[in-house]
Amino acid sequence: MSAVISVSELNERAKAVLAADPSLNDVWVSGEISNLTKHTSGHYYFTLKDTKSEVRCTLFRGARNTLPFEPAESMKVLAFGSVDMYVARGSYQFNVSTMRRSGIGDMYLALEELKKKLKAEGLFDDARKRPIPKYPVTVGVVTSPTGAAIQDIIKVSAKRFPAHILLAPVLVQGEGAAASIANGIELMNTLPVDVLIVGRGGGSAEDLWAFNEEKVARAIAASRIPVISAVGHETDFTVADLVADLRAPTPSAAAETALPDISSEIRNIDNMMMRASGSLMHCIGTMRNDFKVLDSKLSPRRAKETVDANMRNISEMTRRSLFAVRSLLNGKAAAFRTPDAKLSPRRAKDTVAQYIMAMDEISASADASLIRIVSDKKRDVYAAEQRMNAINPMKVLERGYSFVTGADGRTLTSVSQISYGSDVEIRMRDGSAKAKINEVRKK
Amino acid sequence: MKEVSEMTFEESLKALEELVDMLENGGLDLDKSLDIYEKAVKLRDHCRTILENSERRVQKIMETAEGIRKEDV
Repeated sequence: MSAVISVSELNERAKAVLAADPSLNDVWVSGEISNLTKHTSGHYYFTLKDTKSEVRCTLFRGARNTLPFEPAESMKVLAFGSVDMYVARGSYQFNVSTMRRSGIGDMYLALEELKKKLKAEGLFDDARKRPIPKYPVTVGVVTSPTGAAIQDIIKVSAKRFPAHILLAPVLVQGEGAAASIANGIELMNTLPVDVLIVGRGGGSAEDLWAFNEEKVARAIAASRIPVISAVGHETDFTVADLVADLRAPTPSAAAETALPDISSEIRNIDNMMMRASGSLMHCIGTMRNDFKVLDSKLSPRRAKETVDANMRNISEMTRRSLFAVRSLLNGKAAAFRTPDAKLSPRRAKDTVAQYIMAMDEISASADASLIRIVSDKKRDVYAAEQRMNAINPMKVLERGYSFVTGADGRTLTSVSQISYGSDVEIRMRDGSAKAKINEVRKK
Repeated sequence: MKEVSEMTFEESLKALEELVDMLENGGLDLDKSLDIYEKAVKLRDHCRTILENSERRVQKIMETAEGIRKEDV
């Protein structure tokens, strides 16, 4: 008789054998859950069975907490774990470290296959991605008419760049959802739509599954209209996300991407107008150089006319510049209108404070602009005076020149205006002398 | 060039950018500069009108026997 061992020893030996066998450790076992017991300790106990056999399973709290789903009676699962011996009872059990729902498991496998196929076809290539138009007239939305997605998009779009929203109502989950979404995308492509948002609000992996189907991927790829995907989920991208021209994490974010922010558009326009008025001011500043019209004709009347014309010119330009600057400032004041401000007391108080600051800023810049124009005008008038003095014929006489006028008092500039015996008057710095022409010689 | 009032926002913005570039490049006399500036003000006002006063229609499409129909939501 060989050595006698205790029951405990027997079970310990069996446990060691089970633990050492790689074919019983770290294996996937498929089966259906039954006799599920949720212990107050947080551990779950159940039986995993198929048509012929069953095995007791334990799912300890730590492993259970990492499961992406809640185990339930009759659920088909793939359980990953190792065989162990429960020494006290001499029964063996399966310790589950993680589980997948087996139906879903098949779906994930198919999904990976689909992703591989579409990727090989180049449907995910960046080169295929089209730019999203910046200022759409109509945004098409393919989603459920009763879901949160369309409500979120309408809400966001009311505060963004104005565009029309056109909804293609579709089923986003359940039987026929993928075909319905694909049909919605195709319908939109027959209409004048500038950008498409295709998606739904958040949900479980199963709720979002339609966006992983080939039909939807093909419809997005075939769309003439650029597509923004908006499937609300945090984890993996759906196939729709991968094929779309742009992926937004939520429907609200998609609306924000499709429609620019109004206030930044207004800022951009105001900046351009500031640049334009800066250039204009520069132009006014150099206006003095434009007094080329003052030629050297020594007719006092012509000189006065020229100066007068330039003065009128200055006044007109100043008037127009003032108009232009005023209109610019009015535009800036309008920027502070808050058309969508709700009239809660706090908002109202805030709005008034904003107005006061805006008005201060506007009057400060208005003062600067107007002062600059007035001082420019003063300089221009001074310059005109200087030029008038420079061409004043009397000043010229002081330099030793004289000029000759005919009987009618007009300045003579050509010998053809006189002949032998003509009466002329010679004007010098301090007086004039009458003379008669003795001889005319033409060059 | 199209009448300003007929332009889309994108067209107006592009025209405005071109005018500002012309002004900044210089070489224009004051008279021409003011003409351009006045045109820029018109475009600016048009852009703001679009941003602030445009209608936002929300409609849904319905497939019927006669084809696609749009209906206000």
